[in-house]
Amino acid sequence: MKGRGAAHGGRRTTMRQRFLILSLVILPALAVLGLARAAPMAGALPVIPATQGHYLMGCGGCHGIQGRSGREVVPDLAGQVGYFLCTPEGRDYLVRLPNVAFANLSSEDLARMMNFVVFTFGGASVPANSRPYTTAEIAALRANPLRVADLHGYREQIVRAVTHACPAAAGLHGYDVAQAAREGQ
Amino acid sequence: MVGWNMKTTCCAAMAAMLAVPAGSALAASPVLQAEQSDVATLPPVGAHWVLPATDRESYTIYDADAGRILGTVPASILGNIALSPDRRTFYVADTIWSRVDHGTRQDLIQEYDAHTLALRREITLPPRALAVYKGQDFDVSPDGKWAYVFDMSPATSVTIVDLAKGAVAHTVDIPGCALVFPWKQGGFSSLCGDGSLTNVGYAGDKPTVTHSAQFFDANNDPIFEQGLVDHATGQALFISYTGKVYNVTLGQRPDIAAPWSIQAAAGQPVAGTGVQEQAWRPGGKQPFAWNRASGHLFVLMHVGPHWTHKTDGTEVWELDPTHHTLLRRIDLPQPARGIAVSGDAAPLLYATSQDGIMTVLDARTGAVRRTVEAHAESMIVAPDLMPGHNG
Repeated sequence: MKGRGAAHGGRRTTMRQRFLILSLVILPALAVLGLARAAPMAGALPVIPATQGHYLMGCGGCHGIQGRSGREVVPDLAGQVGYFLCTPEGRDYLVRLPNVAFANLSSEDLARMMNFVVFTFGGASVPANSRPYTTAEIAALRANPLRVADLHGYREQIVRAVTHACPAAAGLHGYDVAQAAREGQ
Repeated sequence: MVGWNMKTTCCAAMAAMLAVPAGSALAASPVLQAEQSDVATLPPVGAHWVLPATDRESYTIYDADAGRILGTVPASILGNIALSPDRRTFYVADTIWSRVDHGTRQDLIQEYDAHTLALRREITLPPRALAVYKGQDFDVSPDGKWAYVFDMSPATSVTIVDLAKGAVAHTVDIPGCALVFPWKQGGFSSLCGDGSLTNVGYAGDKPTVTHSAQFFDANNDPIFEQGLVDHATGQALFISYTGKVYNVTLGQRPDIAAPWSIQAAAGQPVAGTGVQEQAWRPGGKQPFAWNRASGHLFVLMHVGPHWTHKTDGTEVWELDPTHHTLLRRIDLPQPARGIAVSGDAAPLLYATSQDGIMTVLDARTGAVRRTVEAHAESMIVAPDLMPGHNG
């Protein structure tokens, strides 16, 4: 930059001067033309909370940014996921799913994310008096991920017990039926 | 109508031109013979055959010595190809829709006779994983009895197909794991998101599933999906983004050796995980190849920071995975996104580039033997000719 500035003699400008020129000349000109807009401020941008961000990065691609995904292929979380808290095994199941257990998050962050998923997306499907997941609970559950060769069969058992405890959860079976049809069973 | 008229006019003119000299000559009129149609057949699969995926619609069979196209096996951009161990059949696992890009979805294995390329049979599959050109999505067991098809719905599973019966035998869920790496006999392993292997033993009845200990860091230094398996021995090479190589003997209880570094073998600085850390690193869409005769590993290398694992390679490094040594660095004439190597003792190295060119090199000298405008995609298959089979 130095050499170039010297070659151009008196036309040499610093970055700061250029910025000033831009501000003093161009911006007022745009204002006159009615084209100026307020510069984007940090506060004006949509800010995604970290917990929601973790959901979007790790889960939202398939489960949908609002927890709706076309429930026959990927189970809907919105209005459904809370039903799993109707049984202790259902509560454990959500965290022992390998793609939850293996998440690139600390157990503390994973607990926050699961509570967001279950209590925010789950909405009315969460049974009354349900307690949130704790960090210690998440750490224990993720150390024991589901390793079954028939995960869909296992899920069906869980869903059956959940539906027995909370009859309103019957819609959860839609995924199991569709999955079985895809596998030709 | 215009086209038809043009054609008719053209043909009429041709006929007139031919009629004049024939009419003026005194030679006996030729005896017209019916054309004999036949079906061309291929010789047994050769050591220097290579099948690049071409134009998103087929695998083209080349004789790389002659630089000649021998045939074409249809396969979409989602299709994977595997040669049966007896070299008599090409299997293509593919997915098509009744109205091309929508409509009824059909997943199937198509079975082609390797001698005539006739479509012999089609086997219906449950929905398979859709990935553009990934050899590890589909494979055939070394005894030729089973095909393994990786599924992702996005729950992951593997469909095991009984190839004698031409029917699905079993679908095994592999939660949190992906892809198929066949054992020498009786099963396959898959790579898991917690840095372990899941091992599925299957001989026709109930599958047995085991898990290895965690051996790689899936979050910070993952293993490439394009790991290699020697079907004759069940030996696998898994390579991490920073260039660590894990020699593994696959099985119900896999034997996983401590990793060694490609860069250290080459006398280069070992690559770390810094996002601005420039180093030689493996990369590309199909960055690895394994020569059966020498047991040497070929790796597509480039200079870049961490997370540049899909960057085209400028060099191919030949390494001895037993002694962890570098044997040769081959400077490619142009950056390549995929490589393959023939299995014989006079190996050819194949490299495909962004512009569709397939370069054929002598792997022993690095000399370019041939440059083919092949319309090649990133995937390129050098058939793995296992000993003891002659086709």
